[in-house]
Amino acid sequence: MILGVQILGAAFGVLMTYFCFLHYKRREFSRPQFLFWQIIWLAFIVVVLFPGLTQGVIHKLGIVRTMDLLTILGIMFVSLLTFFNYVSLNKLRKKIEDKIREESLKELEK
Amino acid sequence: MSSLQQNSAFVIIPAYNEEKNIAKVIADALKHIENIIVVDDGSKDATSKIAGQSPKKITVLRHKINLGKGAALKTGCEAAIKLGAKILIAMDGDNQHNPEDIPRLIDKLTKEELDIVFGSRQDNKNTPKIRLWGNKILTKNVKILCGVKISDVISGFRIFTAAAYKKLYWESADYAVESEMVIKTGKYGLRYGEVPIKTIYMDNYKGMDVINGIKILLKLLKFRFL
Repeated sequence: MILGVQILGAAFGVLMTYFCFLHYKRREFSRPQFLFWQIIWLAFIVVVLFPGLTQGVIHKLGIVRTMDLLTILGIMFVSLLTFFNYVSLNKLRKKIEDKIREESLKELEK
Repeated sequence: MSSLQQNSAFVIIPAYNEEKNIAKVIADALKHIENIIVVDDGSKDATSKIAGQSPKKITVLRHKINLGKGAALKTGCEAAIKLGAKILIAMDGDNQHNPEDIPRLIDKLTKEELDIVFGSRQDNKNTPKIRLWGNKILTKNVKILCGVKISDVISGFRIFTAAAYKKLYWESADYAVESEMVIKTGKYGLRYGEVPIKTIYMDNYKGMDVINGIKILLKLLKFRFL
């Protein structure tokens, strides 16, 4: 029997695949980026609807339920994204600062 | 102050939305120094226009977008060094510093052969309490982290040599710039001194606030250990 939480999870996964598709069509995602995110979200939907598929893996990891596995993976994934966002934001801030300074200093040459 | 010092010293004034104060700041500073660089940090008002109308020729640079005080100060220092500066004087654009203190700061730097001199604000009844306590906490932390003993870590009025600037070269784009400079003073063993200065608080809502203070506390650890 499919539980309410599974329906909610699957609906969330479908919504995310739609957003990926939208970004791809708007050319904000390249084809490899689109495929990467589609695989992630499709895998998420499959695991949500058929939690039994992960039984072998969760027992090896010492985890009791598939829900716990998804929660742990989710936290790891969000932490990873936050870290990479932080790094790329710093890089971007530095690039903008250097560019603005370079343009500002051109005033000296006038 | 000798004419040689006068020619090689540059005042750098980072300014953001300071159209009400910038003309007076420039006029007062010009009484003591010839070379002034105003860096308009992406102001939404007429700061750079008013600065450009100064009776004596000064350098006005403009950031297209607001980057923060540290970034504006760095742009000013880079420009000053390109123009041949040997001594760099950082001063706020909100009229809270008295340019009459400039000769005393330069004398201290040159006579005692120091790398950097900090202008330390004297507490008075006009000092907002939150800033008073925030500054005390930051100052104590800086003392513990880098051993630099000064009484006002976040004062924006300071003077340093062009050679020292290369070591101080800060990465902070925001208000953490002052604390980073103090940390680097300790880290690189720069010779430092302190001169008491007068301060007038013009606007309680501009400049440092509690959130900035907390951010600076966290950044202090990064500057010290990374």
